[in-house]
Amino acid sequence: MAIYRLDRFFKDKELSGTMVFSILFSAFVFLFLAALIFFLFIEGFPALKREGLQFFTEANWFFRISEYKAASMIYGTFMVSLIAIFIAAPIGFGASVFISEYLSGSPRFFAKSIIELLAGIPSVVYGLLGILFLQPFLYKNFDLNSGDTLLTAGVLLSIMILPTIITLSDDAFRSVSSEERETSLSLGLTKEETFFSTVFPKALPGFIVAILLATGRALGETIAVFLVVGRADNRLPNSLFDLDPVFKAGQTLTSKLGGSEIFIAYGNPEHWSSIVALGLFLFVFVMGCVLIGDLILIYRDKSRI
Amino acid sequence: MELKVKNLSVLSGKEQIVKNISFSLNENEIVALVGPSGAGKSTILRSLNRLADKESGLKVEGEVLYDGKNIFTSYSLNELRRKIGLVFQKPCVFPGSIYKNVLFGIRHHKSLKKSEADDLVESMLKKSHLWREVKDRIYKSANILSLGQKQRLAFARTLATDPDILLLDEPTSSLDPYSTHEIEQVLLELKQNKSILLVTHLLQQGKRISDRVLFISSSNGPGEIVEEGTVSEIFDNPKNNETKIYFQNS
Amino acid sequence: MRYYFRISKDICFKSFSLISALLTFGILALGLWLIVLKGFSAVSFDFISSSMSQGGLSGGILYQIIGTFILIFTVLLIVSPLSVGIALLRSFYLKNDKSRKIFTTFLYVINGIPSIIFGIFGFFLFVKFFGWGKSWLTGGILLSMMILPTVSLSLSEGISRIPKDYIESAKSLGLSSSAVIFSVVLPQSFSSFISGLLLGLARAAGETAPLLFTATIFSGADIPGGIKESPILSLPYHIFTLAQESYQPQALENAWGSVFVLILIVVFFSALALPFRLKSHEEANV
Repeated sequence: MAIYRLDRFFKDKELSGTMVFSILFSAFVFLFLAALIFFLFIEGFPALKREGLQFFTEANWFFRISEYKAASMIYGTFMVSLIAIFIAAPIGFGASVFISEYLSGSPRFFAKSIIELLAGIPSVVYGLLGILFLQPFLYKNFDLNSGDTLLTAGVLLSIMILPTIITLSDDAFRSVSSEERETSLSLGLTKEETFFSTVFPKALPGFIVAILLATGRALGETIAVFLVVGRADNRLPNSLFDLDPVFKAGQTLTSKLGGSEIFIAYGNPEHWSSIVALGLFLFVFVMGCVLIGDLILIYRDKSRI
Repeated sequence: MELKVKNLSVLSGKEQIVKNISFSLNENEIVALVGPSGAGKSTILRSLNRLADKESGLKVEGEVLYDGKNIFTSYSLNELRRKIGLVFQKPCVFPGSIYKNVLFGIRHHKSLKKSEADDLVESMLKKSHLWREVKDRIYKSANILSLGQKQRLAFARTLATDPDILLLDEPTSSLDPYSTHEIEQVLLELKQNKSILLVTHLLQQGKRISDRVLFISSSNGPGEIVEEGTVSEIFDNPKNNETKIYFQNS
Repeated sequence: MRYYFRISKDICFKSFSLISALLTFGILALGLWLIVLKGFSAVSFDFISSSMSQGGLSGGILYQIIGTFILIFTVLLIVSPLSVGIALLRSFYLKNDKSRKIFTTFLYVINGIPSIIFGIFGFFLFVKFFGWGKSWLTGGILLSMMILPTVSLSLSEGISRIPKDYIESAKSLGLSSSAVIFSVVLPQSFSSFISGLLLGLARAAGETAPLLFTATIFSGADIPGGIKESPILSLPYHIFTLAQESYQPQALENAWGSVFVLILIVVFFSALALPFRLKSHEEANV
């Protein structure tokens, strides 16, 4: 009976040993993921229930007096990612256009390999470079009280997500066939007109997905942000257009989670739950980016017959 | 307008693809470029539209005169490509409506009022014998057209930029006999005010519509023109041995 | 007039993309140059062959290197069988597009989980719930889960690229589907597997966040003897700690040295992957 029903999903009629292993291993990984998500919800939920909406709207996190309101970390995470995308999206767009439209053959392969190599540089290395070069640079040039600010973290992140944006958007641009480019060029359109009238409209979903995945990466990046963000809790802007906190030390969800507060929190259910709730938030934001990106790709492939 | 090709050679790195190609294309004339595949016929067309040197990174040597001026030095790229149009073997249709596809090139070259654009689309689709079939759905996606219709749309799109010279790269090779016939009719009508260079491996097609034939062969290395003449000369009485074999066996 | 407008737009576009590319490569080249410049002078044979002393202010990074390799090796052992199983399920066993798409989304989800979340989950499950304390094995498991999608998807793409004829002709000879897998599918996609694996290992070697609470400590560990309470040292964590003390010149010097060695390891794995990637591209174009 069970085998009969499996038959609807699998090509092979009989269950071979290899297939059993394949299914078991996948099930194991699936179980791991399910346990992780289950953990985030079960352990994080009590804090949300206890703190209610104020968890997101108030910046008041003092674990010694049992105050757990996380607005400043959520604000920090958003600002840092926003700055990163704001800088990296146009530069990444330009650079990937250059690689996909103006380079060909081995220079193109070389450029792509370099970019992919740079995507592999560990974030702790970016963090160290940030501490030593970016932080003093911004401190001097922006007249800041300290070099450890949300701005510093945002700028550092923008450099870190550049390879992601470039690689993915180059793939998107390249997926448009060279026949289409040549047809357009043969009609006398310039490269720029060709790009915006043939390549870009077709590659737009892929480009948006590149930005989304880069955003996901920026939201979740921990170590480099931890090292340059200043890790000061409880700062929020006074109004929507008040950018002052951006130029001061701040805290993000990840830098909070990366600190040693975890060890203190574990013994205290309230505190622990609040910490896990931060993780839950981060997870939801990042998964939002990933899943929307995935949906865009699925929809694109469906509508392109 | 006249096109004169003098000693055209195309190189990929150090390897010659075609060498010493010389011929002329007169006004109101259809010239067929015939020869086995791999002889470099498409490369010749692509160098006349300057795709070869600008996009494929090939090296093009020699001189091509259009209206008496060298196309490699005396024309701006976009203006040249507009005047020397190229239609590819596989029709490439852009996402969007039929209407948009026809205007795809020309709307970058000049601004059109809505009424001008409408008129242009209609006349171009008529010229390419597509109007009758699509007049009720020109605002619908061009992607649902049949292959033959797509190729005629590609003609309409190229004609809309008002070229003097048309380069056609086996435009009917992937089409059914009906569409082929339609396109041949289009070509004969276009001949009234344009010059056409047609790459084809269909000898019958060359016979049916061309005025002159160039036979190109690459049996001695890079592609060269080995015989040239009017249709009757070359089909009924080929001088070159290779031409003979090629014609007898196809 | 219109012509000049079009041409200048074209030139602007080209300049913009050129400047962006130069900026990108400039920043990244500058970073690499700094690492080589500062790191090379900090590295010596003593530095990589002796253990740390004075809280990282002097001595070397022998056990950090060993710890990093212990992690890489653990990940290799865990990830290889799992990724083969997953890739086979995705590209070979699953019947229709829809179930394949759902399965792919599942891999994307794992791939997207921020590393720090693996960290707190690992802390909860292994360190506390299983009572392992800090352990190298927890680190290995968490890193394996993180890179699993990379390796599985790379292998799976390789399997999908195998021409249908190969598999069908093997089947027509009467091979069982397990035999088809071991004689055709896996050998034909081997380069995709290795290139994905090496890129994944390069990433695992540089991770810090999932190990913070689960596997690594800064000093006082050497080669682990068991599983429970067996933390290790690692290069990324070493750099992370020294970076926070970078106001001390000696700490900074040692941080640069560690960065240099870590980058060498990462670049080594990525470079090793390159010929396999080229090969899998060739296989794709058969």
